[in-house]
Amino acid sequence: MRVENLVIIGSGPAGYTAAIYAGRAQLQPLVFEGFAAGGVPGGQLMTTTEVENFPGFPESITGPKLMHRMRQQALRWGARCITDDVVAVDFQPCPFQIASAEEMVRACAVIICTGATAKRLHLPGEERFWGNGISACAICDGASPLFQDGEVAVVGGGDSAAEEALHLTKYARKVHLLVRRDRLRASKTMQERLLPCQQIQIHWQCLPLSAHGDEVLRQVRVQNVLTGNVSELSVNGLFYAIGHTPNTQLFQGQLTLDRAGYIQTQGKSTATNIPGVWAAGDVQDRHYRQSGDGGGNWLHGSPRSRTLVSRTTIAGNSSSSINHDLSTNTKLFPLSQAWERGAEGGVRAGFMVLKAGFDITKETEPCQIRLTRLFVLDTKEEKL
Amino acid sequence: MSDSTNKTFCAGYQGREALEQLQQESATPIVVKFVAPHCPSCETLAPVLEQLVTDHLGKIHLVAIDLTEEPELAMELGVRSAPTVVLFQGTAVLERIAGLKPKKLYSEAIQKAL
Repeated sequence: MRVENLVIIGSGPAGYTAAIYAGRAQLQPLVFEGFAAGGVPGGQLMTTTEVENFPGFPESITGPKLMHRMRQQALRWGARCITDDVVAVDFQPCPFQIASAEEMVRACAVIICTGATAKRLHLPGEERFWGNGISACAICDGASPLFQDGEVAVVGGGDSAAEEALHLTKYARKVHLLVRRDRLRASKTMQERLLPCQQIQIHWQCLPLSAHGDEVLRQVRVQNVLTGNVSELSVNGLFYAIGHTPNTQLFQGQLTLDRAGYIQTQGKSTATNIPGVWAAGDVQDRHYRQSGDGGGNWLHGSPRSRTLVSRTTIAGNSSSSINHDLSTNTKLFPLSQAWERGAEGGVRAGFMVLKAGFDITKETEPCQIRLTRLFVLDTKEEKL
Repeated sequence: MSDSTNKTFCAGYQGREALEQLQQESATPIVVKFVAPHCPSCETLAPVLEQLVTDHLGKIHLVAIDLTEEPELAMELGVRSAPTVVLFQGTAVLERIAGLKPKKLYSEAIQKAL
């Protein structure tokens, strides 16, 4: 089985940013972009229309275009992308084991960027009408003939809800926005677009109770949370925009998660409770959940993660010279020795020789060979 | 994620007319993918279906239909979301896969139809 330097699980802004940095550090990262689990490859920006607050795009850019560019940038620096879902991980053995639906790899280091998935309300009738009127993605399903010139409802009061409601006005005659509170959480900019829109009616302090229909959704029963009054809305569509659940099911029992299921990282770093496994982006950030943050998160993470991605050692052509880069709290070992120590449990990994066929014992390699130090080794000494 | 939005529609055949012609003239099973503009899941699915059709070259047809252009056909076939894959033998529906599902499901459905 192949042993990878670094496997990145997930392909949102955090995943591709990690891939770009690791790629530039000549780590040749392997990225599992996902397929059907946890949302589409490219992450939640794939279901966003215009991204107006990502620095560097004054005229704005669409979510899919932005993600396409991030992917291209990762590919340019040698990342290899596999469009497949990871179905199992084992962080006990060293190197770690990662299984996708189609293949199994081992990895010296793993960065988890699996992000979060749109929440559902699990209303009575929801299962029956899921995909037949109820959806969590207006961008994906709004164009369905079901909603042409009909009435639809959006649940939520944040930016996503506002964006979905505005998007749906392209297809539906009328959009009902069901807001739990008496005000919107959406940004001022979004509110300024939403409030004057004639096609959108806002129902304040209103919650959906149940979904009804025949083959497809026809009505949603709603309740005013203040008065308790129940009424019926005749709609063909019900779209959720009520926040997210982190995609961490795969890691339960192996990584420390917080009560809401987000991966707990240590202090301000991106390090998890297992040395060699990092988490970045929405999967460990329940507060900001912004693309710039997902990417930036990776950058200003722990010094340890920076060590992983940015420090490379140019070694000369003799094995002795590889030890010249010893820094204060880092021990470097030749590859073979590192793996032995790995077996003892004290050391996670050593060097990776990135040039195929390179023999560390030979002194005849032409000019410079680039060796990459993977990450800091001795878990007994290091408190990540 | 595929490398181009256009790939969503880059199937062998496109549109309702092509489908109806194939249904009349060919005994080969037909994979119809219903897609929508800007649908990211459709882009993700595109290379998977193209690969399956290449793997079974000549034994299966692939037709892409934009459900915003053919809403009546979509309604007739009970297609409510994109992507939806409908597998035909002539005019008979063999299988319908709504939403983006694990790759295995598509290959198994095609395998069964051959």
